Amino acid sequence: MIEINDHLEVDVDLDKIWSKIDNIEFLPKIFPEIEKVEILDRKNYRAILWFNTKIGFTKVRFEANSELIEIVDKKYILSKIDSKYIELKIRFEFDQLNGKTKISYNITGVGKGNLGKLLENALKRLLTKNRNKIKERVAEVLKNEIQ
Amino acid sequence: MKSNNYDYDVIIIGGGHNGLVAAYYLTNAGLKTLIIERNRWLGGACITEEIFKGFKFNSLAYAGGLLRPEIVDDMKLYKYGYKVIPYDPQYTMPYPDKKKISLWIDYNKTVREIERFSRKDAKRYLDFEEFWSDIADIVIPMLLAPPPRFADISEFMGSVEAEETFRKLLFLSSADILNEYFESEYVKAALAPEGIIGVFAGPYTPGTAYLMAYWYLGVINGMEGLWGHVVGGMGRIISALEVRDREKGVDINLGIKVKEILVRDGEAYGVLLDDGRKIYSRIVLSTIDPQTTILKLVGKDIIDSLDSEYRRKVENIKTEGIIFKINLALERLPKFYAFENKKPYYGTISICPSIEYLEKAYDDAKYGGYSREPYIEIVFPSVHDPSMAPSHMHVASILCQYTPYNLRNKVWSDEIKEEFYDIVMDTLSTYSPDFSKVVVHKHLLSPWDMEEKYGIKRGHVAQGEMLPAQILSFRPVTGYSDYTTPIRNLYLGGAGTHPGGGIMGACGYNAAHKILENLGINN
Repeated sequence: MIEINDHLEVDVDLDKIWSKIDNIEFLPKIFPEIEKVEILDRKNYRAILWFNTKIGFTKVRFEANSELIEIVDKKYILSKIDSKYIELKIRFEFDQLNGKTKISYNITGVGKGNLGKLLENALKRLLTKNRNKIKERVAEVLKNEIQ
Repeated sequence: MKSNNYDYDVIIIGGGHNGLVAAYYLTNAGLKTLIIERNRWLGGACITEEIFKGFKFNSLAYAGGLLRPEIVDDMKLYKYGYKVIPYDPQYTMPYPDKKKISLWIDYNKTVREIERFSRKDAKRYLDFEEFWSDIADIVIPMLLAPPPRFADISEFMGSVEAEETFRKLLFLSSADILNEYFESEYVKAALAPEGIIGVFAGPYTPGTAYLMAYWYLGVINGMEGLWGHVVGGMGRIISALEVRDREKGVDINLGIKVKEILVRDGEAYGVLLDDGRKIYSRIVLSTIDPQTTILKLVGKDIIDSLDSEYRRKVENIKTEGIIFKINLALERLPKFYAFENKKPYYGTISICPSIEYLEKAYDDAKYGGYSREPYIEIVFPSVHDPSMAPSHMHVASILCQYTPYNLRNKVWSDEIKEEFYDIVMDTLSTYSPDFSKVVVHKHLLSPWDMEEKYGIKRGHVAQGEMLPAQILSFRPVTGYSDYTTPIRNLYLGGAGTHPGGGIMGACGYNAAHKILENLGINN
């Protein structure tokens, strides 16, 4: 099982971040591993995400259904990403702090089948090993895209 | 969770590190578990023995670092005395011309060493390290999981780059990889041994590139690719696991042999012991080698009635030990011509002057002899850990290849063992002026001794060759790489399963989790 808890801070006001972040089509800008997004139901945030992730020397391509489970305006987002290999739940919480925004995130997930278990382990490793790099990149993208 | 019909939920045959790891996870999930071990001690190949008073030998396994950090964390083994000091340098290769290369933890230090032999190779070393690092990113996630089938892995091979790396990893030899990256024979020789340790194969054998990746998998203090000394000796791993298991309520019976696995209507339901007692369980997990488990403890008639093709596959698992272990008590550290300072003694010192030397050592074994000029690797545990030897004295742990289990026209008598020991000392005399002179006591273990004294079938510590034909979904046999067998409730979880040998704990971990999954227990 994957369980990751962490947070990052972005030098941008929460209102501005919120105006972008709840738009699912913005995701590939923050996460280049998401190659494409196809909106199924914009109002309910349902979409198909196409992932193209480099894991070591391999490239893993798969599609996943994303679905919003719960959203509270400028407070938190709880979403589910479900594919044939893995199911993830991601929760973001937002706090405004002196003109900066603190985004706390919790990622849990379970692989399905042997290949899914491999992907679960690989994702855990990727997210842990590149933790700081990912956080810096996300903060940078948010700052550049929004300001 | 104990049914009225059974004494235990799970009986584990074999008290090596895989059995102990499996027992933890099973008990943690609420299953009443018993370990049965034929020896009066736990550990299998992972033991520390005081053969001579005051001198502690890591009799078989001698270097730590492979034990998965996830297992160490889950079991909190650091609270139970488990600690590993990384070797630094990791390796030193002295050469007959009195030159040497050391491979350090510090990447830049290693590059400076390589630069003395070849500037071009020093530049290529970064590419070489990145190649293995990329491979580790996909191989490491495979360790604590049942192996995917090759048909499934193809889903991950979408790019030409991925296919090419896969080709290199599984079909090339370690010599092929080294020749691709490096020009200096000194540099290639320094990196070559990782491709042949523990396998009956030479550096030019296709598939040995995979071994280079496998032996790269050690993690110490968060740093990948390292080997090190286990403080107190390799037996400390076992004692930490044992304490943790007993705390959790695992029952452990020592000095008792399992004579038979009880099977009825295609289902395992317990074991028959040598002393005539029967112990009943819902599940039997064997961590001893697959051949002994299936062909002896279950029996050919039973397995034939269920799946004769499986029996044929198990019979044909390649299992030929080729390691000779020498444990020495030393009055002091021996000198080496190639270096004067103390640093190399803190890591592995390897005798491998060239790739051809290794191949010739293998050639001798191919034709039924022991190597007349063997590969030798030496560690001095007492350098890190004075508790391993009396004050100012030392112990040495030496692995030699190749010494096949089956010798042509000879057997591994004491006389032949001494003959081989003399060859090792003679070989070392090219590199060290006084190695044989500082020996106070010696403890020699041929593949036969490993089988006879420690229960390692045919002296093969990995319970089966670790080349591409017997790894991943082919291990132990095709169709049964998920720790199950044709017999319901009989599982395999020793080194003969995925991912393989080494004191990693992954086989036991995976087998335990498969059992829990099949029982519908979410751990």
